[in-house]
Amino acid sequence: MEQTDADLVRQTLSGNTSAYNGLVQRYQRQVYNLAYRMLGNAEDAGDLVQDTFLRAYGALSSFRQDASFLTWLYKIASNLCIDQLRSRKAKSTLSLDVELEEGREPAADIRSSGPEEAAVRSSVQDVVQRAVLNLPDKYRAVVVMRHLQDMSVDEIARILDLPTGTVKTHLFRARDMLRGRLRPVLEMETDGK
Amino acid sequence: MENRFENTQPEEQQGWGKYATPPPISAQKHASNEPTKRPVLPQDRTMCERVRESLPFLLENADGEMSQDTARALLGHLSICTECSQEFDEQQRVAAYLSAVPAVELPMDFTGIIQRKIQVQSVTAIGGSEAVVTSSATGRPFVIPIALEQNSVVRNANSTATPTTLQAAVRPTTSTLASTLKKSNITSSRNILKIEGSALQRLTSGSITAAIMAFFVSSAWGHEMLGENIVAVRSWLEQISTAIGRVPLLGRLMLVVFAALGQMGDLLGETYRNVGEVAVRGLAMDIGVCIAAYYFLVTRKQRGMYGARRV
Repeated sequence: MEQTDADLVRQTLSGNTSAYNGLVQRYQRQVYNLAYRMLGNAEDAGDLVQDTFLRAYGALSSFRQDASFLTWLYKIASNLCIDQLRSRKAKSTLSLDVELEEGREPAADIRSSGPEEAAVRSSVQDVVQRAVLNLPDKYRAVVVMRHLQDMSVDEIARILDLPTGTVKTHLFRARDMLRGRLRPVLEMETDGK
Repeated sequence: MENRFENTQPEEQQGWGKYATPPPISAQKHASNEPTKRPVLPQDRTMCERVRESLPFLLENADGEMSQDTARALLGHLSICTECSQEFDEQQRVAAYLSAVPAVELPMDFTGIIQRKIQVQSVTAIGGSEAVVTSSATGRPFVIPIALEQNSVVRNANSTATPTTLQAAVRPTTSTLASTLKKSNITSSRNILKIEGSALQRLTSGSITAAIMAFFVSSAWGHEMLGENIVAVRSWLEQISTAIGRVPLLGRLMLVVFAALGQMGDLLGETYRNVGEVAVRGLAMDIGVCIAAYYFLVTRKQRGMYGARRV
């Protein structure tokens, strides 16, 4: 019989450090995916997975059993992601978000990718991924959790410490921005119909 | 929200109906105060706007949080308003595109790495003697024990009062430090700074190094050693510069550089002999503080640039 998260947490706290491996094995994939979508590259995502699980281990005694372990883990991971994105932004003044704020269109290359519809169509997923990476941090977080990780609005609200209404409006605004960036893709599909 | 969407009438299609770019509120108010230009009722004009305010909630209404009446009213409006329904439709399509993005595969299993890092963490929390045991048990040459060894050097240095006993205390510990360095294949002292772990650890190792330097410069023994070194370096530089002076151009350049360095060495030696111990102590403090500040900056920079350090 598979042990529950609560069991593994209890065992870890009572000194059985290998019980924690069970938790890592169970959730590393989700945390990695969140980090990868938030940070945009495998190396940073890998570092973030390690950091998240180490922090979680250090703070395990403060984990309250009434919340789900994954939600708690996501909370740590998303905070670390946002910290890292902030320090990145502080470093490079030419980040994509800045480009956005200045009114430039970072995803303009979608348009200039040529008239070969088939080629564009095959890279629709790339376009979507790039568009997500160009979203401002707070919008990217909700979009990744809601649509790429299939979490409920309630869960996201708990992870990000936001009211559900705010999560919903953030999601809407984020998709609205994506709608603009994915315009060529959306129009192409409509024409094809 | 009540049933205010039920008596929907075909709205006047406004250019600013796009949700993304609503006109400034003052402009709207101003417009609504001009009945001659706008024969349609104000509540009708703002209908699209109100619907769009509710769209985020309608789109995320899987939990049925929105009242059925409201939802029905909104859908009613969408069935007659092309602009709003297009927006609703595109929001859903964007959501579908996003959901179709596949999950990325894990590049590796992180369990082992995390387990090892946790061991390192708990080891540093427990203490020096056990650190060595655990590291040899896992078969990994850790850098942490060195830092702890170093710690003991400083503890010795702080607890001993006179320079002569200090000297006696430092010699054996520095030799054990050297042997530990060899044992764990650490070739440069920079590696000590690459210890995994908190900024506090790094800061500690930085200040320890600074303290050792300060001791060297301030103690009579270190004073003496440094004085000798300066003389030795001076003669070295002279030899090297005479050798290199034969090479044209580059040699000439190097000659100038070495001459300058030699003069600096002379000056330093002179200062040592003339100014005396008090001034030298002050200098030592300065150097110590500078080194501590340097390490602090370097470690901060490393953390900032690369995030968490890798194994």
